[in-house]
Parts: sequence; C-alpha cells; structure tokens
Amino acid sequence: MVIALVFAVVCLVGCLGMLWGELHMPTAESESGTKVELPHTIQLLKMEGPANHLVESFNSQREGLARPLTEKKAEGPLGEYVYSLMLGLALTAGALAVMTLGSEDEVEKTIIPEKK
Amino acid sequence: MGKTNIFNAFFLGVEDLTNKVVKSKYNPFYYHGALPQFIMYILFLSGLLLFAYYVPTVDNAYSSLNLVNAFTSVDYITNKIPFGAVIRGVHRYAGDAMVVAIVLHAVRVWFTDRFRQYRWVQWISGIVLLIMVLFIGQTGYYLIWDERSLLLTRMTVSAFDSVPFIGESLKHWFMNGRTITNLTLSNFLFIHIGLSFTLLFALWIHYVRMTRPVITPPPALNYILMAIVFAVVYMVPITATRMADLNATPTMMDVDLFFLWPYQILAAAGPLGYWFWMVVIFGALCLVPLPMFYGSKPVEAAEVVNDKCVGCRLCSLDCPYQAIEMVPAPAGSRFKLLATVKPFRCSGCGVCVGACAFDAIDLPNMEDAEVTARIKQLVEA
Amino acid sequence: MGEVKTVITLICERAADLSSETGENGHLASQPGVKVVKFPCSGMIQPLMVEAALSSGADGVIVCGCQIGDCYYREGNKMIRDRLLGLRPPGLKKADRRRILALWLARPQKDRFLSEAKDFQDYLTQLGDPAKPAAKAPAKPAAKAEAKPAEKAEEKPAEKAEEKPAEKGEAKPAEKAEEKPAEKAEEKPAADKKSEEKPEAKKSDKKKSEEKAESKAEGNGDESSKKDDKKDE
Repeated sequence: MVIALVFAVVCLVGCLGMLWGELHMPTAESESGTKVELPHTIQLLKMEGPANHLVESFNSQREGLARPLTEKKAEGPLGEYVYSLMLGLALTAGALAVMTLGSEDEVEKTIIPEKK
Repeated sequence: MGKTNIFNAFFLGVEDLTNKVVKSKYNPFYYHGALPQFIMYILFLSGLLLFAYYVPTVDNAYSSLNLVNAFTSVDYITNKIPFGAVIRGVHRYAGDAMVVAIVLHAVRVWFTDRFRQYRWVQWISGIVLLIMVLFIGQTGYYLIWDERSLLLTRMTVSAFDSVPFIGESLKHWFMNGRTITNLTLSNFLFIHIGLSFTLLFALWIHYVRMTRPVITPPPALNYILMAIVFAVVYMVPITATRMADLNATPTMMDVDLFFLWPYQILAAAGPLGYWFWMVVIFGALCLVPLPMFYGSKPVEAAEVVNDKCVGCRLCSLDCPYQAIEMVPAPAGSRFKLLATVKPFRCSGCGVCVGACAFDAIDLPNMEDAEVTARIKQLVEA
Repeated sequence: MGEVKTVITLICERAADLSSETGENGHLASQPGVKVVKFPCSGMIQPLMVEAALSSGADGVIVCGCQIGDCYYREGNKMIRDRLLGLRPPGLKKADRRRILALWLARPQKDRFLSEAKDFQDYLTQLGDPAKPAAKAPAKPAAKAEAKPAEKAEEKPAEKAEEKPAEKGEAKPAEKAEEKPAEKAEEKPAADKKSEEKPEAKKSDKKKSEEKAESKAEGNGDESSKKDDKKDE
C-alpha cells in the first residue's frame, strides 16, 4: 500500500514535469533572447503578454538545467537535451502510473471461477 | 543439477524482492530476453532517422564551407536538424544499453540454468548474435569519421592483416580497396545496416526452438527503458570531435568500453594476441552448454503411446520447445495424425502429458497412471 | 469442525521449496492434512489428476507452480492455469471448482505457501464435506418443501448483491454466517429439506447460471427455474 502511494506521488510529479516539458518544446530550439513565434491563436486571444512572460520564465528555467551541459561541452542546441530529460521523467511517471493503477488481478493466486 | 546452486538462489532472492515491489507481471528479470529485442527496435528507428541525413564520404581535401562528407553530415545532424543531437544520443546509448541487456540476459540464462541440452541452439545463436551486435556497434563508431574512427579503422585493418592465409583478402574486403577511400565508408555503412537486418535472421534461429517466445516486454517497462536512455542522453551529451585527416596519425583516446573493449585488447596485445583472446573468449562461451562440464542429468524424453494417440495436436501445440511433431498416422489407423517426439529437443517437462486427455504420452520415469495412483493412495492414507 | 481437511498439493519441483517440510510419505509436517505430490513442471498436471484427487475423497486440491513468467520450462504454469480456467483444452469436467486453489510461488516463498494452505483448509472447513453422490438422492422428496427454499432464495439475492463483487476471501465470513444456521439444521432429523437447502445456500452466493447445471444434476429442474423467476423479481 505504501509503495502504491509512493508510485502515485512520483506519478503526479512526473505528470507535472511532462506538462512543463511539453510547454518547453517550442523554445527548446531557440537560444535565450531570440524571439519565439507564438501561434496565431495567442494573438487572437490577446494573450501575448502572459505567453511571452511564460516563454521568458521557461528560458530562464532551461538555462539552469542547461548549465551542466555547457560545462560538459555538449554539441547542438542545449534545450533539446533538457527536453529529452523531461521526456524521460514523463515516461517514468507514465510507467509507474501504469504499474500501480494497472489491472488488479492477483498474480500469485488463481481461484477457479464457478462453471457457468 | 543446478536447481539449488548459489547463483540461482541469488537471482531467485532478488526477483522475490522485486516481485514485492512490482507485480510479477512487471518484473524486468522475467523479460530479460525481450528487453534486448525492444532495444533493437529503438536502434532501428533512431538509426533510420540518422540514415536519412548521413553522407558516407571521406573527402576533406578542400576545407571549404560547402564541404560535404561523413563528418560534416553528422555535424549537420547534431547541430541543425531539430532534435538531431538527441536522436544521435539515443542511438548511441541504446546501443550501449543493448550490449548491457544482452550480457545481463546471458548472465541470467546461465545462472538460472537455462542453457543445457535441449537449449543449446539458443545459447550458440546468442553468442553469434552478441558478436554481430559488437561488430555493428564498431562499424557505427567508424561511420562518424572523426579521429577516433580513423584510428579504429587502422587498428582493424592491422588486425585483419595478421590473420594467416586470408589476412590480405580480409583487409581488402574491409577497406573495399587497397586504401581508405569513399568506398571504404560506404562499405562500413553497408555493413552497419546490412548486418543489422541480418540480426533478424539470426534472431529467427535464436527463437526457432521455442513456442511462443516472449519478445515484447509490457509497455510500462518499455517506457522506463526509453526514459533511462533519454536521461543518459542528458547526462552524457554528445561532445564535439575533430574530423579525420588521412594524412595524420591519431593516437589512442577514450573509448566506449561497451563496444570498443576489443580494441583495448588489440592495443595491449597486438594483432595476434587479439585474435588469440577473441577465439579463446568466444570459444569458451560456445562450449558452455557441453554436458561434460556440468554433469547434468540426461533428459529422458517423453514417449508417445501410438495406440492411444488420436491426433488431437494438443501436445504438439503446448510443447514449449517445438519437440513434438504431428505426422500422418500410419495406414489402418482411425485417425489422421500421430504425435511423434523429437527426443533431442525434449526437456522432460511433461507439459505434453498434462495436455493429453487420452493418456497417450508419458514421461518414462513418471507415468501418469502411477501419479494418479499415488494421489489416490495419499488421499486414503 | 475439528476434522483436519485433506488437501492434495500438486507442486512442481522448482516452485515453493517444501522439501524441508515434507516427510517421507509426502505429508507436510507443519500443516497436517496437506499431502504433496511433486512434478518436474506444473504443466504436467492433468486436470484429470485434480478430479481424481477430489473424487477419491480429498477435500481440496492446491496446484502450485512457479511465478507466472518464470517457469523454468517456459510455459508450464501458464498451461495449467489456462487448463484450470477452461481457456485451454483439456479442462475440468465435474469437479467442484471451489475446492481447487492455484498458487504461483517462487522457490523462496515457502511461508506464503503454508499460510495460503492454512487459509484454504479453513475455507474447506466452512464448505463442509464434499457433496457425495449418495447425499444428492434425498433431493427428490424435498419437492414438497418448495415453499421454504423459495423464501430463502428471496433473502439471498440481497446478500448476493453484496457478495458478488467481493473477493472470495471477503465472502467467507458472510458464508460462515449463513452456513452456521444451515449446519445446525443439518443435525436435525427433519433435516432432509434443509440439507438440500444447504448446498443451495452455498450456490446462491455464486453465479446464477451455475445453479441451473447443478440443480439439474440433482433432478430439480422445476425448482431451479422457479428460483430464477424469484430472483428476477
């Protein structure tokens, strides 16, 4: 039971991480400072302000995770590696969710149901 | 027999603990063979994506901006293609994961005593698969065509050259000519991809003596495997290397031990020493199933009682080792088919006995009539 | 009841390791009544053997193999599981399926086996004696007592609704409560009608359609259809 709770908590954390990673995806390619093209719907909804603010905060978060990569002299856009890490966390959360919430059938004991 | 040896007990203990955390349905130890198969799918897919942009040439006579050769194409993939660096990392680390998974698979098979007698085809084909995977990985490292690739290529050429009688031809086959040219690199690409598809054929042999082989881990385990690969891509990112220069002579640098450990041996022991150690290691591995080293009990194969067999095919379908074949029943029989046991494939498990409703197949040392009599005797006792 | 229930265990050599507990004659030292027969693989167990054990008087049968996914011979435990569940021929024919328990335990899980065996023996104690063919004969004179079993059948749907989704383990205390009055009734001389109710009391806890088959075997085709009508109300 405790283990199921632990799984559930890790699940939740992973789902949040996945959401974070997905929102990161458009900015993964760009370096900080370059303008990211937002979808037209954002302009229609007049949400450019909050959207740009979100993009800026993502950029700064990404900088934090990307710093160890620059120290290791990684090649290629660093945001991609960060994205890959987030995807890894999301996949782990998904797997733990499946294993916890999956079918409840007992695997060590089988009771034969009555014949119809 | 090996039922209670200490290594088997170790695995049973670890798996017991794992079963308490995750249900046995998700216990990764029970999918030790299926995990390398899944990793192969990852490698095929990521390899396909890389192949789309890879150019197998070595020209660098003109270091101009428009130079297109293997190294610059790999560079292009890493820096310009969206998520190219990640795919490249996935391909490399899935390859390492493949070697790890194969070794763990072999270790579990060995320790839980699942390689003897009737399972020898699986073991030997497994060794062949391991050699193929190692060679595929090595050609993968040549394809990048950086300094390390050039060094490894030259070392391999010297190793092939030292083989008696056929060394010269082997060397020329490998280089696809007398020196390293564009043809060499396209040969490496052919070996890398062609041998990968040949893996499928070798896998068929690996699976052929098993009915319903388990080759797909449950999706949850697949997600975790991908997650591990992605996490490693983040933790060990691709770093820049220098283009190979045919006029220079690079020296030994850090190597990926999973695939390139034979090169350490080659560097340490020289070409002849290298071949000696390779033959010894893989030869010893192939000899593992030989009964004389382990004194295992010979299998007493199941025997069909021809008079009682009705040809229902249940034993043949149920047998886990493809050891029962249905043949046309002899003339004069009421039935169409007759079961026959192939004794060298029989494991003595008795699943066929359990499947037979007509008492037509028996294990010679444990007939089901005896067992039923014993059960009745115990009830009355 | 105090009587030790005989349980035949059909176990494979590589599943839960009972060799330290098993005596020379196959009896388990720590769990009286449990007797062990070993097979190279649980896949060798024929459903016929399970039925032979039950029909020769065993109270219950435990089939034990390795963990699903870890059979040494690859598939034996899945085979016997599918045969017992009716997913794979050959299957069980006339056996009382409540008296069969299948366990899939690895070698270190001896204690789990012993605790499951003990729980199974307790459950068998509540089930009572295996219905022998002779005991079914008095069913015919009970045709007069149709009213009484019909009434009882109406009470039972309420309990059935609770018990159906519950697992067998949880159904046991409910069964106990029902069967205690039923068992007491068995001792009375006028017990013919009631003793017929007892097997029916047990059955109404399980699926409806199963009753048709078993009641027909007892020669009560009319009564079972009456009962079904009552339940549909």
